[in-house]
Amino acid sequence: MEVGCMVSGSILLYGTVGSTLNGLLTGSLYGLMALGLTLIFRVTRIANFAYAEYITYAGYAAFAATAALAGGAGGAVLFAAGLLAAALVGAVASLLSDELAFKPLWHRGADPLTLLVASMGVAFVMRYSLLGLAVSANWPLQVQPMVGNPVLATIGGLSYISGAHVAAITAAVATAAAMHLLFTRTKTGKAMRATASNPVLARISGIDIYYIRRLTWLLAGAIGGLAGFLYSYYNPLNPETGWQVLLWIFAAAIMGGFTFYGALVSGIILGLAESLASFYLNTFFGIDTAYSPVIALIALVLVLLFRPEGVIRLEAHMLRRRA
Amino acid sequence: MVAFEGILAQWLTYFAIYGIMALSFNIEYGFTGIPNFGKVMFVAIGAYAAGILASTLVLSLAAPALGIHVASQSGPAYCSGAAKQVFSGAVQVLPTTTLFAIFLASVIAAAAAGAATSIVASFPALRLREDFLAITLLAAGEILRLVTWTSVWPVCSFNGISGIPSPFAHYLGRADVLYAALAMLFLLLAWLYTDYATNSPWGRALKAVRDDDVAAEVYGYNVAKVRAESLLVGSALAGVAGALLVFYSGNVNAATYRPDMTFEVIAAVILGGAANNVGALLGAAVISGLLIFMNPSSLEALGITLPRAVMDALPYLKYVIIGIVILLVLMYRPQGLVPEKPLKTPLVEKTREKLRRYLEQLGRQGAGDS
Amino acid sequence: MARILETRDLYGGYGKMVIINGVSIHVDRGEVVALVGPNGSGKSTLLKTIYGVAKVFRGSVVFDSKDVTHVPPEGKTALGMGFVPQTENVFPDLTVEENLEMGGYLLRDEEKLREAMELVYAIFPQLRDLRHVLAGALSGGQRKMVAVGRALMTMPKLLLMDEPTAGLAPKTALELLDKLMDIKRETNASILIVEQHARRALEISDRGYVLVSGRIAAEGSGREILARPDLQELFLGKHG
Repeated sequence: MEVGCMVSGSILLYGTVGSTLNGLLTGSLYGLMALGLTLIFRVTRIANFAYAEYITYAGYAAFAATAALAGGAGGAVLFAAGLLAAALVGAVASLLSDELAFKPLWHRGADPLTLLVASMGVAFVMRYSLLGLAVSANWPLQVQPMVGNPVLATIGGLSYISGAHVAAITAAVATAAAMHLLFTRTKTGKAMRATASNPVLARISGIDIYYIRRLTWLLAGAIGGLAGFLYSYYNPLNPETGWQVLLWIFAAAIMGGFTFYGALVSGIILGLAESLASFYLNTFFGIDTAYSPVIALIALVLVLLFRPEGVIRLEAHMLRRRA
Repeated sequence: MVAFEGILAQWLTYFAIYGIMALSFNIEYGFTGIPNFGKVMFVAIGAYAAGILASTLVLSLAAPALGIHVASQSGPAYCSGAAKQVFSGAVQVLPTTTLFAIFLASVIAAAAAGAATSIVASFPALRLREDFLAITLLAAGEILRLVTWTSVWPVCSFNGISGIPSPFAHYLGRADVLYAALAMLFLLLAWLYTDYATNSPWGRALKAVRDDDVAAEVYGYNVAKVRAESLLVGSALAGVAGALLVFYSGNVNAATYRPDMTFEVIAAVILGGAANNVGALLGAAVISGLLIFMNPSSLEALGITLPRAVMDALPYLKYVIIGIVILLVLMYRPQGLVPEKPLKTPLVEKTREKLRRYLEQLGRQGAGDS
Repeated sequence: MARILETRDLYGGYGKMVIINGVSIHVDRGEVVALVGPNGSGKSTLLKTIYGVAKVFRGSVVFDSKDVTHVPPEGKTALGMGFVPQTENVFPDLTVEENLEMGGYLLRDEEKLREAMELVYAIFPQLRDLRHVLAGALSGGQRKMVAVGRALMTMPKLLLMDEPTAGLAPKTALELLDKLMDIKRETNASILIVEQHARRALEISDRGYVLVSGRIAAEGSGREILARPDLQELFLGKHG
């Protein structure tokens, strides 16, 4: 009896540690993706369902890049190539969708709901083009960039820290820091915030809001691409990957009240919640882990019903030292 | 020609089902301004209700006659292997009248289930901005799908219920054509009802709430009640569509009811023209046509051959086309193919005339002032 | 030319609605010109049409001898115009200092930015203490200061102001109008000011226009307009 208790005790401990690590990993990525989604929403007022597809496309680009270089290059080069390809493709996909669909609609005076429907249309076009192409060209549908996910350390023999953990968490922190600097220290970053805050006054102040708009889409796409690349490290990519995370990142963005850091933090919280809840519910109540996506969805619905302005609102100025 | 008949029957059945869903969405969004992006959720609930009732009835009626004993193990009885045996043998022991009765009962149950669920949806409908409301309902639909996909209740998780007999199961060769005719009958009834309802005083109430809910409240409409009623009617219709889908395919499976289906319905209504019942049907005809005809099997049956690569991609290309159609419509003809006719009654005409003369007078006054 | 701004037979409005019906006004260099008139006469729309925020249907706008009719707002600011809208005239999510920085977005020099900000703080000393406060958290009067300050950052040659004293307590309103005179002195700006409170505006102006239903009903020096009996009802009522 005693040994049994001890074993399950350590399983519990290492299970918790492992779930926490995994939760931080997925949460960091959800947070990053939510950050990109928030950026688009703040500056253009579009709840963009196509954002998921930029992530998918970026992941595939990373795969293609690493596969092309796989023979002759070392790990670091492959990583950099994958990252670059993903960020680039994410950025371009994002900008193109605006230039071809969202901006023209905006000029015609489309309201937020129309833009949301349009974003679903764009998502359809992107996702099913990829699927159709993959099926007819006989590409493998499930891919993973050839970068490898080395195990860096093991904890108690039952859980481990892998390259993906380190990369994802580092990326989230680094990106958050970079965005903070961008938004609070650079003229362009402040102009982006100004455009989000009052676009007409931004124009009156001399800001070229079309330039700001393009920059926003590129940046949001690049962040999504980055996150997509890191996600594909430990999750095989398929054309539906973006769609599978979409509701998670909407949940994070909405929980964060569409504020930049709120979205990031909410993403991490949701990731942890998914991971830990699914572990505990499974261990103690035998509830199938397949239910875990429901957690994000329920969180989303609850927030929208009771606190649509967001639960965790964190803005740039709140992180400033008192002057 | 036989193959062509089959495809035509398929298309007409889908047209009917999508037509009813489009009418349903049109009532809620086109006439009342509620973007029910959780449409598929109500269709699914109707389908589940129909499926559960139908399978339970088939089991209780056919199992004894077949001598098969069905017991519920870790889930509902109709999920078990024995149940499947009953379903396949049911046609032998149940006459058409019984099958039809089961069908009708299930359709009614589906409508009721849809309507009951609408009460849940009414709560967010009152409080949220339109794009947030859309996301809420979408998320709710996804919660339902994920839960029913995993849980053995109510429809046997990822296996689903299969083998539900069509009311025309005894007419082997002509079953699909007969069912298409039945579905079209339902579409006709739905359209007649919707047309009547939206042109009635209730319909005017819906439009008033849509156009300006504050003014409508002041005018004396109970906005919350009007919205709830709109969702009730819409959801009942959606449930019926779900039931029709169940008896057409014989299956109930959570995977069928994905958000993509909602988007197809939205596409149909936007294409055809919101707040316009004929438009909704037109849109549904186009969308269902795309869904049915852009399939390798359909094209083969019609004798059309395309390169292998295109054939393989076809089932996905149809969605690409739907997406492009949506974007084009939103950009170049947002009112849809058949725009909403403005309300023209003698009262409105007289008011307009008066307003015009008054404005002219104001203009003259302004110019003449010194 | 002595005229810094001229509109010629200008028609403007929103969407398909024409609100400004053939308006021709002008502002000479160094002048303060008031634009007054009853509620709904289109005074705000006129300013917005001139600046390109509302739609120009017909006619032209000439600034400093250049035709700027179809130049977008950001272009007009680059040419030396400035605009203080009546509402939504600050960036609520940015601090006071950031609002000013954005006002000075077109300034290439860090040095010039600092100078401009010092000027604004000199005119509105309160703002210096409120530097790091979010504009959205300020009171109405403080917000007005930020709004005007933001527009001053580019040292515009022509400043358009839409009801700067609206919503302010009378004492604060008078203080603000006094500041306008400071501004004029410090920056040599010509000012076109729309005011609901006609008397106040006309008292500080060199000339004025009366706008009624989108058309000019009267023009002249401030005193002339104030003296006219047929326009008296404009100056009666709540504002006294």
